[in-house]
Amino acid sequence: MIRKLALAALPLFLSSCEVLSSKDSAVLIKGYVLGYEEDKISQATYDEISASFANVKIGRGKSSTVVLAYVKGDIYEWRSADDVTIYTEKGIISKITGLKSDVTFSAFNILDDSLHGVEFESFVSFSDPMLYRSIALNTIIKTERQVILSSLTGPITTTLFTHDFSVPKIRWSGSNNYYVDGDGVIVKTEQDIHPFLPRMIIKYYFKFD
Amino acid sequence: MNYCKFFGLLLISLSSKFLAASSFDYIYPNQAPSFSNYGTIGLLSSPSARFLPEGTLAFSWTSMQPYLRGSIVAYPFEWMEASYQYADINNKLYSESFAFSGNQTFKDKGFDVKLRLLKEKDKIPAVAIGLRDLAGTGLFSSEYIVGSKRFKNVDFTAGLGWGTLSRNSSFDNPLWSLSDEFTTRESVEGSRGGEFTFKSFFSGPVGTFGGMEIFLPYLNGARIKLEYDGVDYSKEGFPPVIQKSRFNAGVVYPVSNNLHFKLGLVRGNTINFGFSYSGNFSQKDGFTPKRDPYIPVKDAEIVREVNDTNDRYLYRTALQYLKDRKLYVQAMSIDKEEGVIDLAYSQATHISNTRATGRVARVLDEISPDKFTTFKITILNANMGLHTIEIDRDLFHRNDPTPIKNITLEEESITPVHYEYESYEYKPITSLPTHIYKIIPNLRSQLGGPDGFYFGDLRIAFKSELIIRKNLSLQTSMSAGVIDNYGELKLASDSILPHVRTDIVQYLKQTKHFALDRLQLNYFNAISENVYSKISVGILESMFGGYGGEVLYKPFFSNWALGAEIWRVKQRAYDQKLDFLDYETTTGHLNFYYKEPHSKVLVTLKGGKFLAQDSGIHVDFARVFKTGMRMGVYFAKTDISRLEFGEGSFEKGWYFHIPIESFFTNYSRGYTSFGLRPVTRDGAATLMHSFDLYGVTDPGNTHSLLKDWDDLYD
Repeated sequence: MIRKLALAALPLFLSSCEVLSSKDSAVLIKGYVLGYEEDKISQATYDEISASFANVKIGRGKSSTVVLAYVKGDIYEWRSADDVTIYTEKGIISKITGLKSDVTFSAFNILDDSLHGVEFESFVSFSDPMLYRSIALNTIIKTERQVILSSLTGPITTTLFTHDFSVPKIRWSGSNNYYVDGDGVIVKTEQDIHPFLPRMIIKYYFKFD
Repeated sequence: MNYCKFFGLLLISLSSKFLAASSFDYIYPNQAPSFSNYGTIGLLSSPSARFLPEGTLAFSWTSMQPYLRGSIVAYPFEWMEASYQYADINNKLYSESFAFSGNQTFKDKGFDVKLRLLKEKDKIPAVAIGLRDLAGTGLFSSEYIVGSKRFKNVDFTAGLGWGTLSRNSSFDNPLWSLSDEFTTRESVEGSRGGEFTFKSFFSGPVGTFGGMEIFLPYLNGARIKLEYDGVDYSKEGFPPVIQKSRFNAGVVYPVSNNLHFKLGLVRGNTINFGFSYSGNFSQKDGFTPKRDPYIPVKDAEIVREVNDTNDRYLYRTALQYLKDRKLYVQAMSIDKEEGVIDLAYSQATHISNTRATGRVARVLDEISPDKFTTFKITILNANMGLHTIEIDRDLFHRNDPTPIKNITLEEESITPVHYEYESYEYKPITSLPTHIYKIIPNLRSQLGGPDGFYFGDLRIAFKSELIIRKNLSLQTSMSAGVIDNYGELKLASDSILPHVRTDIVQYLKQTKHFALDRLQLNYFNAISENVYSKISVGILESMFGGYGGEVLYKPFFSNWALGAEIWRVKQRAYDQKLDFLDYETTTGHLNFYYKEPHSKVLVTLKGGKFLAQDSGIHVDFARVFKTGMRMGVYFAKTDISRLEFGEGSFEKGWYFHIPIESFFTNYSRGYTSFGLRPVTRDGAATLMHSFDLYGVTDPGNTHSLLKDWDDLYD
């Protein structure tokens, strides 16, 4: 909060030699203090990008676009212009590189009924600082909640799957949400990816034939 | 003995004998060292041998009755901590005269420095030497040698202290054997402040201090501090300050690595609390990660094919695609026979000219037909050529993204340039004059006077630049006050020199509604490849107007520059409109600049005649970081006596220039600056005209360019 207050006070200290316009600085500072809103993907933007893509927002930061670069079996590799690569496996994040800390998660299928309502183990690894293959305890619940999400083609009804996890070794826990459409495709995720990083929200825009 | 047992038990219970190294940082996050009640890194009252990373700036605030202390702390090097602080001392009035300072409590300014002697290793503790309040009134004056060693989650500190840190003097000063001068400690009472009392350093009795910082698991990096206090409260500040116990204890809770809150019990009878905030501005992504990558040209292949049919298309697309990236083509030539594109551009977005030039090269690479094999890129500032980089397209392409200098580009490919606009084939039409302006809030502050601790006003400033010709511009700055508290500000100048600066109260009070801060006409000219000149006329700064000029000789491949400047100026009326007072003078300096390549310190020497007609030398040392951040200190000595100079004894101060882009995800070329001169006096005052030639031309120097080499593909 102090950092935000400090940034809010920043225009007071802008000196005579800067080139940032007041309008720009006001927009940037507003973004810092109040957070940035999620980018609305327009039809024009959707048409402009030839491949499948996703809108990614980390915490209160600006959202950015990652484009589907490769598909290897169930693993999808999404890349951003600033060298962040997100790997998703069966719709959920299995690996991220290019952020402050790289992360790797064991993959599992959240739609697998046998995993629902039972606690099961998986592994997580982080870099910087390093944490190698620590056990995570997971519980997935298919909720009865139907969530309406907006899309370019109109509202779509999704089913919410919740995924609670904990990593006992470092006493870190989190709760992820997955929104699955009627075709069984995960169209939106809200995931805790690292104890030192804010929550990541991904909205997918698939362009499959 | 009971304390020892307590410490021992606590250690045993809290030490983590079983922690895997890999999980340690997650169990104990936010491990940055924390600040003491004296405003620098340490325990509660004692310093430690810990430092924050170089390029860090921090603010620390502590309440420990009878003191309230605010400190600005800088780390110009990884081995150096320097801090400046104000202490509000509640058990003493500012002066004995109510008419002079009313009920204001005593304020003390102090400067501390700490240097690391040894870096911590497996079996060796970190060791540092430091001085507290070394150039102030000496109320907290002390020196120390301290060691810190960390074992798992406990950081131990122990040290020897002199001066006010000699409470527990249980053995003789080991320096007595070297000289009798270390036997007794010289008092600084009666000095005019601001003087270094070298003779008292490390003299008098020596005491011990120490303690530990115990990091608590799974609590976001929270830690307990336990300390054996070495401060002699009968020697510091204004006694009596009662000490009931020599053992202090406290807790620090880090909200993040940067923001810490603290609470403690000191002297056995006093609760202390406070916070600190730090930020690192030395790394590109240190404070705010950048999200401003190069955007490739859309459908570049098609653009390239079209450009192959007509050179004019190539020129026009270069103009457009570079403009989209805020890089402005000023002139361009296309040599099909030799396969060379020669382009001159200017930009005001990137501090790193290397990044800007790299992006120009990338656009040219994307849109140019294959027959073009060389890009000659010239960067301009104030229409003066700073340098030309000749880029071999094949090498540039092949080494992307491996910015290894001397592979992508050889140093001899970077050359100084005498820019000749007429020699270019394509010249975009620029409609001049053009006007750039902005309206920004502005804050003026006056700290630490007898009338009150803080006076200031919040203003709305209008700043503009009218570009009449490419090298001729009129810079205007005016401001209107919104809110101020100047009502009680009344301190009159007591200076026996011409009042070139000390009438600041008159200037502040009479401009609280409106001020014309600057109206400066600048003409720049590059006389030859290495010689630049500037002539300015008008209202040059808030207190002086006039005319004059500057010449700078800056050999392109050298890390030094030599300049000369001379100004005929007249003092402005206090209302800062267009009137002048009677005082006028000629001021001028010979300037020498030297960039020390290893320490990255820029040394600036200015010798000559100052505004108050005193003559002497002004010395400035600034640590310059890759991001453009600058931490500087300066002092000046002229041919006036300490008595003539007045309080503070001689001119000195410090400043920081922080790139605005540090706070944002996008690149921008502005700086925000703040600095402090402990006392405003008239001696050694320099004219503060804008756009000094060294600042305008330095970014184009080969050293600046190579320093940023890893930005080439950024």
